[in-house]
Amino acid sequence: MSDIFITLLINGVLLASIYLLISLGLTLVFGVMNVINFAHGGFIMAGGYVTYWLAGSFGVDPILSLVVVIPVVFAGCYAIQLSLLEKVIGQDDLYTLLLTFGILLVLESVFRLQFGTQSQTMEYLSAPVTFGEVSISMTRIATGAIGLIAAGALFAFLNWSRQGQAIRATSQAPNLAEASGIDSRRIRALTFGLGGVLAGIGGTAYFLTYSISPVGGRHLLLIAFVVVVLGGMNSLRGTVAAAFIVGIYQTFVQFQFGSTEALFTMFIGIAVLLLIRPHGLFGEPEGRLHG
Amino acid sequence: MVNDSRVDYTSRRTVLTAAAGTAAVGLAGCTGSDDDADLTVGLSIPLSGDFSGNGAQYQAAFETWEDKIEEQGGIDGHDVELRYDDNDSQEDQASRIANQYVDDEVDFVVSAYSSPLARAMAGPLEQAGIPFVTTGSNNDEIHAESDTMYMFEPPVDRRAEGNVLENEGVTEVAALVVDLGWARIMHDRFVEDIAPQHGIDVVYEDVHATDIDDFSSFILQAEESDADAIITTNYPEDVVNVLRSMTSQGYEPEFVSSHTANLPSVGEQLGDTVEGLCVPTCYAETFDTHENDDFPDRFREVRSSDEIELDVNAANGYGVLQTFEQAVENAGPDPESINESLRNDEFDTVIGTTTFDDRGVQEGFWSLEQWHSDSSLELVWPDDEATGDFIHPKPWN
Amino acid sequence: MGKAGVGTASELIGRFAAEIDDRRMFYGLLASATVLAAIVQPFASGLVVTTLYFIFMYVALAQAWNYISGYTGYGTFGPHAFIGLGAYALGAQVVYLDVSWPVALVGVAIVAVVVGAVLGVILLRISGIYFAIATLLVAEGMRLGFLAETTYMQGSIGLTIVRLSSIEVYALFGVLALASTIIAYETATSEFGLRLMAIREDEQALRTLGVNPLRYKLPAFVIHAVITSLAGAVYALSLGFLFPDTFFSIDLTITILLIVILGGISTVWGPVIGALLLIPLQEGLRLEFPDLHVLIFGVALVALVIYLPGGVMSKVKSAVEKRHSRGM
Repeated sequence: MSDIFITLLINGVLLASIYLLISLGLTLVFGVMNVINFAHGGFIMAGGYVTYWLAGSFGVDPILSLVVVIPVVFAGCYAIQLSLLEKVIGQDDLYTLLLTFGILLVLESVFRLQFGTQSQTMEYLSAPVTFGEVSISMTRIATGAIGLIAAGALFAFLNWSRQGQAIRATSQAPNLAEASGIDSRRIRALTFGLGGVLAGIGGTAYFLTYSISPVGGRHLLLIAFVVVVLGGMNSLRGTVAAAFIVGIYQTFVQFQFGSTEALFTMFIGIAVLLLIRPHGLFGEPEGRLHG
Repeated sequence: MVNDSRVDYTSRRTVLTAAAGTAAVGLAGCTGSDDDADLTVGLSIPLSGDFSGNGAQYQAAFETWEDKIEEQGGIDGHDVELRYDDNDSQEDQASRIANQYVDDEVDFVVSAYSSPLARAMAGPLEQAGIPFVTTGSNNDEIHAESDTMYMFEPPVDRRAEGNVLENEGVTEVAALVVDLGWARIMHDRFVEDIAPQHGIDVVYEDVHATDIDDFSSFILQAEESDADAIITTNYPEDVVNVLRSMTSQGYEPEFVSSHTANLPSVGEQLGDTVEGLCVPTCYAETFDTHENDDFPDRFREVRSSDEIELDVNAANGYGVLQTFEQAVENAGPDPESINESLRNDEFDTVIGTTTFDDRGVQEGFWSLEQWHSDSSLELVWPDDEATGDFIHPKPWN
Repeated sequence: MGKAGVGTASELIGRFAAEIDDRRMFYGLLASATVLAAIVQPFASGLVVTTLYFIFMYVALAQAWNYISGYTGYGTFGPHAFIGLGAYALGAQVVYLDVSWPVALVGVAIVAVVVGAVLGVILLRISGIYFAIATLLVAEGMRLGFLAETTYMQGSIGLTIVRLSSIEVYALFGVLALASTIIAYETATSEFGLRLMAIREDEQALRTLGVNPLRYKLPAFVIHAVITSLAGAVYALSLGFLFPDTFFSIDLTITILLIVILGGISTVWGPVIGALLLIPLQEGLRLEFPDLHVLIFGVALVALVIYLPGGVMSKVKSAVEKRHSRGM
């Protein structure tokens, strides 16, 4: 294998780990609540902006800033679920879509008012690490690690903690879960909070390697849609596999044909996939969250 | 409902009038009756929305000129009213503003920043015969069909880079461009005209989508193609990402030149890495040009806070109004005369002596600046204007 | 009508019944609006004409959105795909086939029928949420596709086409708004319209009755595509140029969504009232609070969905119904 191939593969995997972070939360929320959350794009940028603000105002190390990003985004999302989304539970999909879309617009304008229109970047661990002929930046390795650790933590939480099991139970059989004493209101808020946290961490990771801007979440939201649909909307494992497929695909196609071509084929490809396999590569037609 | 909104629209607009008329009449005494000699200039600026960062620079520049004109008592004693209108970075709003300018019979219109925003105004203004100058919209192809539309700032063709690279004997270049009209036009001019003229071989070129932040594959390709120099045409944050990617991938070309890299934030964000980075410009504070001894100081007085930096955009904004001022002085205070003058005359502005070709596009070329540290830019080409030595090859720390 | 107001089928049918009652009133109102629009035009300033034609444009776009998304519940987030398609279909004919613009508009309608039918067959197989995502991705994909097409459409460099005077644009958008409102009314009061509503309420039940929902959804989607594309084409004629980012812009879709929600989803007058309120309001907000208006829009969208999901029309209706029940 050539060095170029290896470099591209590594870049693709590292890009995929960011895609994984921004997509898992979307799958989780969909699995439990059947809600597609447009505000997710705003939550991604929220993570990035908290890191930016802490680094800029207090000189906090970006990775350390996650200690603040996680509770802040969690609390915000928990509150949004309880105060806003609960009110449209059980209504047409259209209304939850419009509601979360409204939240996205609000978040974007808050970022714009607070931090300006221009994109923000940050210098962090940019020194190259060289393996033979292949060099990769430390930042990318760090973001890759964040992605994999956070994804691992999510799976561990869902499988082993009481609350994680309650989330899975609610997703698989909402009525049964409620009957057995699970407070589904609280579980929904918890899920929404967790989904937001994953997005927020994803935003921090994205900010470390690339740049954030008020509307920067929209592009990432579309990418997350591609990943989630490809993986099958309610399959966490499917999301993991799809994130790697998309990250690696985009890296290689961008190298060979260009970025517009990569994105174009991804977006249109998903529409075609929906025709052949409406429930993605790993989803089950009537299945609930599995993982 | 609709009529109400119109009243609202006009009455609350931030109209700033250079109320110098009476003083001028009093002093000069010879301007005669000039009740209807007032001039109105419409300024369509993206003060909110995606381009608001750029819009603020133009606004500051226009206010600087307004400050000067108030001080000197109008243009030949004529009152000048500047109308600042926010187009919200949206084409539909820009087209509404243009229609209102036609209604209100303004004498001269400027569109600051973005070719689509400028293009959205062109139709109604041309029909009404109002001279219309765009600046910060580098897509000169939109000017081909109009007799009253002008582009202030010379088209960028990267000839400075061509000359510098030829002198240094660098022949293999990779070029990166964002998928926006203005950028692609600049890029194509370099690849198709300038590069062959200077014996430069463009070994790799790539157009990237506006949403893309990952430039690792471009850099891999450039490295694979043995490019010794990189020319980019995209936004400042892209420049920062490209250079960071270069350091982290261990690719160290001899020469990098990036359009839009003259913002102070690029230096701040890149630190040492910025040293040796080149950037095309058509203005420098050291230029010995018309009113340039006064403009930088006045600009900083008008915008005393350090939030808005004086850069090439601001200079162009000021230059447009200097051109307007001289056109009125040359030909008279009405749209037809101003248009006539713009077609035929030569103007002295802070960016240099200006003429427009038969399409209405400014003639001239861009110089080259180079970052000498993370806070200083020096002019390095052409030689007779240079303020510092050209550093080659680019240092990589 | 509280938050459950989006609710049941009987209520929806009730809402429609109220409009069916007044066929004469509907056409009377429409006729007076048309006469008024024709009389006002010669006296109006350029700005008023421009504002009015944007209102007309958004009435047509909002009616078209309502047609597929309000009535059948298939919420599309990709109207800008058809706005762009219409603009570029017009541009291609005018520039490369040397067709005059009125003929080109017919061509746009034909292209929209074909593309709408093909996309509809693909996309309407999937339900609410999948449909929303897919329409958004298709719209974004089409924007990228037109950016990548640099030979004829010149990608991001753009294409100059003919430009119409604002009076012509005013007339065209006016006709489009009028036609789309009549189509909406005639549909809502027809058997076809009731079937569309039934799809929204319970598509599965319809299927078990042996009805193929695609027979109703597809024509609705095609009509949506045609009206939206024609509006896009006229918008292109009003500006006189084509850039992918100007037409394949999600900002246009955001405005459409706000208008429909504000006026009232799945009502005939909702899009009209929404556009009449929102477009002047938008202009006012842009002037008064240049940086805040998107924030205000976002908050408004959230508040409307939660507190007034039926839009202004639901308030009007309930007021009318109250008066009736008291009177009788």
